[in-house]
Amino acid sequence: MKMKIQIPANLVRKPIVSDIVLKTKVLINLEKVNIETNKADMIVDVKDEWEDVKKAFEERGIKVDLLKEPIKRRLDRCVMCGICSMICPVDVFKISEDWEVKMDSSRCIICKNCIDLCPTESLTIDY
Amino acid sequence: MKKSIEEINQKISEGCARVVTSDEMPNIVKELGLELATKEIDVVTTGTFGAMCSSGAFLNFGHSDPPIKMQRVFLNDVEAFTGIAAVDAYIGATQQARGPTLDYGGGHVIEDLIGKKKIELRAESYGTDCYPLKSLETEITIDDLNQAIMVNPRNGYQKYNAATNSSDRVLYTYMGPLFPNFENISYSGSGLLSPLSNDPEYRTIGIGTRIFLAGAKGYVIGEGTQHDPENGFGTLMVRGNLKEMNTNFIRAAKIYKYGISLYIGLGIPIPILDEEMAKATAIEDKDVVTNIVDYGIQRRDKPILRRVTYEELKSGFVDLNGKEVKTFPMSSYLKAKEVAETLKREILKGSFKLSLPVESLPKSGKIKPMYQKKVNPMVKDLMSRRVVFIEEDTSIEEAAKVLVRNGIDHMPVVSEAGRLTGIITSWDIAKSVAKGSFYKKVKDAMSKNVICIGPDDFVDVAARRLEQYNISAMPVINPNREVLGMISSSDLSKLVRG
Repeated sequence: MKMKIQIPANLVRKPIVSDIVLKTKVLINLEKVNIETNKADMIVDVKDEWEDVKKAFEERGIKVDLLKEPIKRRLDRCVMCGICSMICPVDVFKISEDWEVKMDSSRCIICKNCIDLCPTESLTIDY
Repeated sequence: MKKSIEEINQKISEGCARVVTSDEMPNIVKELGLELATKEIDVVTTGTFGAMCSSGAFLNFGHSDPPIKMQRVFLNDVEAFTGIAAVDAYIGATQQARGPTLDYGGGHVIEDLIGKKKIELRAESYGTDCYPLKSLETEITIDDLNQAIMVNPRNGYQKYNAATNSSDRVLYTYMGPLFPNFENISYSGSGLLSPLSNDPEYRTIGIGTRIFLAGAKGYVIGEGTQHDPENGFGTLMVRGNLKEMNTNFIRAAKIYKYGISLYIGLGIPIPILDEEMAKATAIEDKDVVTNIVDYGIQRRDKPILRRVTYEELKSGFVDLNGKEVKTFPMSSYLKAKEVAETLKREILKGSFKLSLPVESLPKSGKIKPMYQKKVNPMVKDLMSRRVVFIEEDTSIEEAAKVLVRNGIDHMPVVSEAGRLTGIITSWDIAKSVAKGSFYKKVKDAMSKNVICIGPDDFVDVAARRLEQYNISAMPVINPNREVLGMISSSDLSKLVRG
């Protein structure tokens, strides 16, 4: 399960992820990290027991959003050209044998590279 | 074995015509042979679905009361071409809405019209005795128009050059984002489904050929602009009734950092009149050959790097100078196939009859470049040839002295072999002084990622690059990275001073 973690200013300098990994013994994959002086945003992926990890973040006063479908596609606009498959770093989009552009939203790490490049403005990311 | 168009249309009326899409034809011909395939198959449908910039529509708004001679017309703030009769205008696909954004344009207006959405119409005029009204504001839908006729000066390219980029920067082009150092290749066109590639002798596609244009019945009205038959890049001028079109086969396109275009689904049925037509429609992707050209050279004549087939392009990877390079399509093969399938169904239903051309498309002629009275100056014409270099191991202090002594702000840094390795500016030196003794040598303070230009680039390209990177000067280098000169914004301003 992918989650968006928003760490407030008072916790930015604390080793929170390490702490949670040690306590829960669940592995956390950091997919995107943006640390600033007064806040930090992370996209993390947790394969098993993600509920434990979510709870652990929330107990520390950290906001967690589950990214069940981080990227959405309007099929009434998509023309299945496949430009997105070229720009996506994590293979969310794949052109199938019969030229359909398949989307696996769960792989998305919200880099947003595809959003501007989609010529028919079919893709949206809410986070 | 010969069939006439009348016989084929008769079969269509009787519901017994055999119609296939052109991607099915290679196997049919392989299995049955040419003679039997000609007998069996009556019509082959083709299709393409790509961004076709040279598209637009003539609109007639009807007369207002009091009447106005519309001098300038805006549809959802996108200007339409006027300068014809009082309430006629042409909305072009690539025209952008007024304002700084590149988000909305003529392609969107056309899609919104077909989608029966409300469009804000504004017009301005100077007023005459017969057309007294000077300005007008209203809201229309396509149903309010007398005529809405799509007339596209250039559609249905037989095939299109594939694009790559040799430069060290990402280029955002109408062929999509091209990554530096030949990292990707983009292509457009449906290969074996392409209408003109299935009739390269233009025997059945010509003036008067009935076609499928974005869901409506349309016609070929002549060769397209830039029709280039001798090089195998034929084009078509087409028309169709916008009021009968279907948004499923039309889609406004916003091409990142380029502008607006319009995806159009165009399909042409090809009657199998004889064995020659059966053979022509049996082409495969490996038979449709185009060029890979280098958009890194920002000139009209871009170098052709190699010939390539649509089979290679569609495989996802192409070998370029011994490297596997990823390809990506700008057009949609899936939608092209949908166009060919839809056209096939309409013919089978008996609702689409074929027509032969009343006049052929030109088979000879080549596209000409523009006649330019004045030759645009190149970087080598304006650059400063007297360049003060510095070496990497020189001290910052010495570098500062050299800058002051020569009254300059930029110095290219070169290796012992005389190749460019960086650039140092008065600002870099000021920064290193401000940080104390942190940087001692030029190599510690210089920028290693140097924005450069070649001597044979146009000054317009140089001006655009200085502006893009917000810099005031850059070295002019040859392919060996030897510095030939410097070009600065003040060199470019000489052009304005004359």
